[in-house]
Amino acid sequence: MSNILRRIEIPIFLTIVATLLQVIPYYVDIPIINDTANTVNLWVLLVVAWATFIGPLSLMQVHGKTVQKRSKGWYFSVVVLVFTVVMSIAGLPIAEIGLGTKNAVYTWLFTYGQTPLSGTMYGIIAFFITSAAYRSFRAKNIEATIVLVAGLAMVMYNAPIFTATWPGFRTIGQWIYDIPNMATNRAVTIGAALGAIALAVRTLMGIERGYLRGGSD
Amino acid sequence: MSSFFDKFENIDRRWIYLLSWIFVLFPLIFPLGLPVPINKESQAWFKAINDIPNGSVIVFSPMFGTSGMPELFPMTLATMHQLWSKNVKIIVVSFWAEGPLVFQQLLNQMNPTAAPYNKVYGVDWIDLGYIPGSEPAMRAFGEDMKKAVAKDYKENKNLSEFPIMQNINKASDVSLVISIETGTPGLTEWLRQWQEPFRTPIIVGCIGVSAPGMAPFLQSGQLGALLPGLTSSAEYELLLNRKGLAIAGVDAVSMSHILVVILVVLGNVGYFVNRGKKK
Amino acid sequence: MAILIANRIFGLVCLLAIMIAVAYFIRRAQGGKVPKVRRIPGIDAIDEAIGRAVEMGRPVIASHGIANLRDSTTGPQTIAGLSVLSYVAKKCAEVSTRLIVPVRQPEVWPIAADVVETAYKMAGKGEEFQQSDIVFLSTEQFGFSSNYIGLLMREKPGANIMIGAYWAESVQLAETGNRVGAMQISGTAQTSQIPFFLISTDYCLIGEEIYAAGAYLTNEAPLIASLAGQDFGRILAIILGILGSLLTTALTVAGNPLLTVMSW
Repeated sequence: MSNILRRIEIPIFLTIVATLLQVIPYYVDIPIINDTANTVNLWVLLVVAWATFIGPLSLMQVHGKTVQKRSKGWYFSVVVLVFTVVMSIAGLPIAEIGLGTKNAVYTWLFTYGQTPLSGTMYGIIAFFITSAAYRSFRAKNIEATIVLVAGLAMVMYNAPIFTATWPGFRTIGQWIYDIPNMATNRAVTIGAALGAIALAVRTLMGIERGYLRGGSD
Repeated sequence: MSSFFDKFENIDRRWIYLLSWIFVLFPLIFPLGLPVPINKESQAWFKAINDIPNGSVIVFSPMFGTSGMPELFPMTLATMHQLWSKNVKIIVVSFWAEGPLVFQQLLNQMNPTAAPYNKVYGVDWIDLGYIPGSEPAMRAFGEDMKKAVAKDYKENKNLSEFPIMQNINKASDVSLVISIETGTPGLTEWLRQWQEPFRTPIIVGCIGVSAPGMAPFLQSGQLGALLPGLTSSAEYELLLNRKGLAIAGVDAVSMSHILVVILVVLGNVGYFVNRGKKK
Repeated sequence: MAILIANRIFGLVCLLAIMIAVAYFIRRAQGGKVPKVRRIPGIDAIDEAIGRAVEMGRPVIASHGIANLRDSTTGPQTIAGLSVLSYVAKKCAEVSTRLIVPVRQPEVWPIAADVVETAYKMAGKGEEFQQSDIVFLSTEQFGFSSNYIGLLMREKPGANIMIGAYWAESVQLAETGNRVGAMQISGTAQTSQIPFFLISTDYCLIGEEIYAAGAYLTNEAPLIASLAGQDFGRILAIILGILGSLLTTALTVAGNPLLTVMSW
């Protein structure tokens, strides 16, 4: 019995059924299929909700081992574990005992901990982009020169100081934005969509199995 | 002389980081008041909201988390100011987990019940919180709001108890969707689940890096208006005559861009000097 | 009662045409007629990157993006990333080099772990698989990013392979990988992040090349043949685009029969 359950045809069949249940209702209005698709969507939400526990469990496993073995940087792992537990408990949806997203501890940690930390990490991008632009925008060949010129044009288009100084920066940047950028974005978007369709067909035919197991049978 | 220039080809990244820090921090501490011309994107956004007919119901969706707040919070504040200054009914809903928490931060800074807005919760606006499920949740909400959301987020009461929700139950009952977003789910999901099936108009405020990808939808008319990034938010604040966080930060935008241009020019000077020496 | 939903019939026809074309080329390949595929340098470089890591005695870090499997635009990218991950895991197992897989989405973690474990077992190195190397970092985007940066700085991998859906953290990861001297191969269909990967990594797969990667790496005829079906779709899009532009220019939008057909 366990050998039957381990056959790869079972997850492939389930994938095919799930895929068709999502695609067909978009084009065809058949109530029973719509209802089945909506039910499956609800199951997905349940599966995802339960899968949420896997993350913290993995976190506990990795950082718990680090603390236990007193590996390098184990004290940082203590911080991770403590705040994981505190936020999890404070954020539990039990409004009757004052827990939940409106809990004072949760709100304080979110407002004064997570928000500035997230904003800081996002802001660090500025440093990386500056160093990446400095390193990459070099006129080494024709293509690199085009990247350099277009990149600089867009930098100046996006900075008010440049467009206020000379409106031509706005005109040039707007042309790049409206013509080559628009065409390229459409092409990449269409190409990516076609790639996704081909991936879907390979999945439906059961020949795309990279997400099921490593390599081929 | 050439040895002075050829150092520019390989400036240590730590000097670049230090210069970035100085160029961004200085105008935040000592505002420079650099000029901010107003462009068509912010004018279109202002007009799109200004033209909402009185009594309309709109959906306002903060689809970003704490990381997007520096760039998107200013436009969120300014947009809600313009909306609450009008006679429109607002349904606030988010499909990002941190959306309600971000909106709570907005409420800590703006009180819609007090002057000059004088709005009544449940009559003029309602907060439905976060609906998990991403795109399927957006579809479910558009098809039947009361089935997708049982209770409101602020008071935890049934939606049928609020006057604002009396005649509103699906996307076709909504006049406009305003989505402030930073990723997925976002515009393409709104287009697929609201604009295409229900023809609900949509306008989007986004981070600057997302704007080129959204431009084709703006040009095709599927998107009514697009407000990209902090610079456009600053222009919008000027149009509203309500200077805020965006104006405070736009000098830093200008200065950081000046630094990028300077470094790129210096890098190329160093490259060509070294290339000439090698030849 | 209409069964077909209005305004989507043309889209359905196009979708079916492309799917039939893909299926046709796959069947043709199963009969022995395999189309030639141009070289994609980024995909060819994966072996080189792993070899470099082995020579340096450094681990390989391979991530499949930060998206889940459910979203219609980013789910396929995650699947493509997992397909590449299975190949990378197989290669790492064969050369006995450590593979670290950072994960953001809890629901993808068991799939990634299974993909890597199976690859190790199929290479006959099941005992070398370390589940703790499939490491969940954080569901929060910049929590994941800061953790990944820390991983890059501590482990100093010889290769950093990032193929899947990425957002703003892409430039942070790519620049840090560059800083620690890793050979970097990236790929995404997120149009806003492609420029960052292009300038910061050694090789970048653009858009649909990440979907082709799985087919290209396994070198299986049916998978390669599906790429020809994509080209059929591309030709169809070009024909519709040119026809639409010419007709709209000649007849204006209101009088364009193609637009009328497309709105069925």
